Amino acid sequence: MVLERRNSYKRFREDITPPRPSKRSNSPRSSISFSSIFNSPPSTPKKKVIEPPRQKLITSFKNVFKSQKKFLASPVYTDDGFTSPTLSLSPTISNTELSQKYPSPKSPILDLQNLSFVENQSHQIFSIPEIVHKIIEYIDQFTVFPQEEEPIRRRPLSFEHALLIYKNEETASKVWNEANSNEVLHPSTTLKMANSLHNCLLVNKLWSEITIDLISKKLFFTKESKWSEFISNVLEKKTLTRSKSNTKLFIMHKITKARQQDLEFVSKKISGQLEWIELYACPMILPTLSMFSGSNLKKLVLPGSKVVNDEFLINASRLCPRLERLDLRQCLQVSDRSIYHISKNCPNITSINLGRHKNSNLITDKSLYYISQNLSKIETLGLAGCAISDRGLWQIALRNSYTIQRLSLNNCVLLTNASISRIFKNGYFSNISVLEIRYINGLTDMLPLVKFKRLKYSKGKNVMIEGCELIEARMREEEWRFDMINSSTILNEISKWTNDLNDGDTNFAESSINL
Amino acid sequence: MSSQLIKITTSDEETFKVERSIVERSVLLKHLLSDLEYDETDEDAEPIPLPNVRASVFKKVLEWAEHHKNTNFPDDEDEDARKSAPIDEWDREFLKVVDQEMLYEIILAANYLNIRPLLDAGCKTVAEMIRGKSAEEIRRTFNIVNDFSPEEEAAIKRENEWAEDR
Repeated sequence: MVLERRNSYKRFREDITPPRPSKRSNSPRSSISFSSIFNSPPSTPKKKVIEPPRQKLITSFKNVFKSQKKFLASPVYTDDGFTSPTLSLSPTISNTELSQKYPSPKSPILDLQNLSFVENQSHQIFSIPEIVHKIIEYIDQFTVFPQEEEPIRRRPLSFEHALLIYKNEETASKVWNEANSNEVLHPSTTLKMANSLHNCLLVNKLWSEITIDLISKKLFFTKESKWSEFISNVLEKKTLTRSKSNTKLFIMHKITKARQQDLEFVSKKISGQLEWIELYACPMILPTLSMFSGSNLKKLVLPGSKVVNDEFLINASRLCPRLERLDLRQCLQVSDRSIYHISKNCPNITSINLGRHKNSNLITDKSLYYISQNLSKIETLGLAGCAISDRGLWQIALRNSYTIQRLSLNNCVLLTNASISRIFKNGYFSNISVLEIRYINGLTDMLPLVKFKRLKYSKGKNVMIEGCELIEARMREEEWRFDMINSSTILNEISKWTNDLNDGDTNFAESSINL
Repeated sequence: MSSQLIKITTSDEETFKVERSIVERSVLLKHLLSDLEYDETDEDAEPIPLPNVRASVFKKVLEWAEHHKNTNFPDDEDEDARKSAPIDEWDREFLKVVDQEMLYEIILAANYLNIRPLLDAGCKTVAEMIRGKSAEEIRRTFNIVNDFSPEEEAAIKRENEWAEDR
C-alpha cells in the first residue's frame, strides 16, 4: 500500500515535470541569448509557459497526498527565491537518467518564493537530488564488501613489505602501524561506520529513494537470513521494483544453503549491467546466463563451487568479452577445455586463478599454452596444485615474461630446477613481485631466486618469495652462502688494497718528516 | 593589467575581477565565455551576472580556485578513482573552518558553476558528517524534516532489513 503510494508519487512527479533539456543543451549556448538566461527576473515568459501544468499539478497533488500540509513543509520544495534557475541550467547533471528519475524539486510546481524563511529549515542542498545523490554515494564509499579472511601472514618487516602483502596502501599502512604499535585493533572500530547507508534510507522520502537506488547498485549477502529476507521481499515485489536493473555488483559470500531456484528468480531482476559477480564458497549455485547479459562483466569470482563446470564456463565466457579477473579456485570440475574457450573469448583477462587441492590433472600444460597464446595482459596467475610441468611454465615465461607480477605455483609437484631456477637465471619474469613456491620439492637450486631477490632489493623493490618450511630453509641456506661469498670477496679486495705498497700513496713516515 | 580580467557580478550586485584561468575552473563559466566570445581586453565589456551566487560565497569559491590554480585534477572519466580519493588536505581545512551554512552554500555554488572537484570535496565533507549517525541524528544535524508517516517508515525499515549492514 505504501509502495503503491510511493509509485503514484513517482508517476505524478514524472507527469508534471516538464521535459528536461539534454545535458549538452544545458550549457548556455550562443543560440540562446545571453540576457535571456541571466537577466531574467523570476517571472519571465519562460515561466509563463509552464503556468497551465502548474495548475493541474496542484490539483493532482491534492489528490495524491492528503497530508498536504505536511508535504508542504517538506524541504523538498524549499526555495529561497533566487535559485530557481539553478537546476534547469545546472550543467553538473552528469547523469541525465538521474535527473529524469528524480525530477527537479526546483520545478515551478509550488511557488514558495514568498514563503518566509523559517528558522531551522534544512539547507536546500539536502533537497536537490543530484547533490544528495552525490553525498550518499560518498557514504557508500565506506561500504566494505565481504572478503575472504586474509591468510595469517607473518608480521611485515617494513612498510614496503606490508604493501606487497596487502596490495593497497591503506591496509598496508594500517597493518604496518599495527605491527609497530603492538596493539590489535578491535574489529568493532571498523564496524562502527557500518549502517550509515542504511540510516540514510530512513531520513525522508527523497533520501530513501536515492539510497535504495544506490543500495541496489551493489548487492551483497553474507548471511543466510538476510538472503532469504531479500528473496521473499523480491518475491513479494517489495524490493527491486525498478523497471531496469542498475545492479553492478552481486556478491554472495558463504551462503551455503542458497538454492538455485532463488538465484534464478532474482537474476532476472539484477541482470543487464553486472560488472562483478561473486559467489564465494556458495557450492551449490551457479550464476544464470542472463546475469551475463549486457556484456559488462569484468570480474567473475566463483571459488569453491561444486557445480561450475566446463559447459557453464564455455557458455559464460562467450558472454563476457570484457572479463578481467577470473577466480576459479577449488572449482574441481574445470579443465583445460574451459581455459581454451576462456582464453579465446576473454582477451582482457589480467588475473586468473585455477588453484586447487584435487583433480590436479584437469589443468595441464595445455592451459598454459592457451593462456600464453591468447592472454597477453596476464599479470596474476594462480596455478597451485595444477599438473603443470617445466615445459608449460617455460611457455608462460617466454610469452608473458614482462606482464606476470604474481605467480602461485604451490604444490605444482612436477616443476623442477629446469623451469623455475633456469627461468630466473635467464632473466625472465623480471617484473614478478610475488612468487609462491610451496611444496615444490624438486626445486633445489635456489641461487637464481636469491640473486633475483637481491637485485630487486638493490633497486628498492621488495620481492616476496613464499615457500613452505623446506623451501624456506633452502632459501635461507642459499642466502647465507651467497652472503658469505659476497663478504669474503669484499674482504679479499679490501685487504688487497690496504696491503698494497705500490698504490701511489705517500707513506706515513715521509709525510711526518715534511711537517 | 586590470583590463585583462573578467568582470563577474554576483547576486548581491558586487562585481569581481578575475583572471580567465581562474574563472575557467567553472565549466559553466568556461562554456559561457567561449560561447559569448567574451573579450576581457575590451574595457567596456559588460560584467557577467551570476544571479545564483552571493558575493560572500563567490569569494570563497575564488579563494579555492586561486589555491588550485595549478592543480591537475583527476580525469572526470575515472569515476571510481574520483570517488575513492580522500579529500585533499587543503580542501579539508578550507571547508572545516567555514560554518555549516557556508559549506552548503559552497556546495550549491560549486554545483551551479559546475566545479566538480570543489563539489566533490564538499559532498565528501558532508558524507563524513553523516558517517556513523542514525537517521534521527542525520535529520537533526541537517534540519531535515521527516516526511514519512510512521507506517511508511516502518515499511521502509521492513523492506530493507536485508540491507541493514550497509
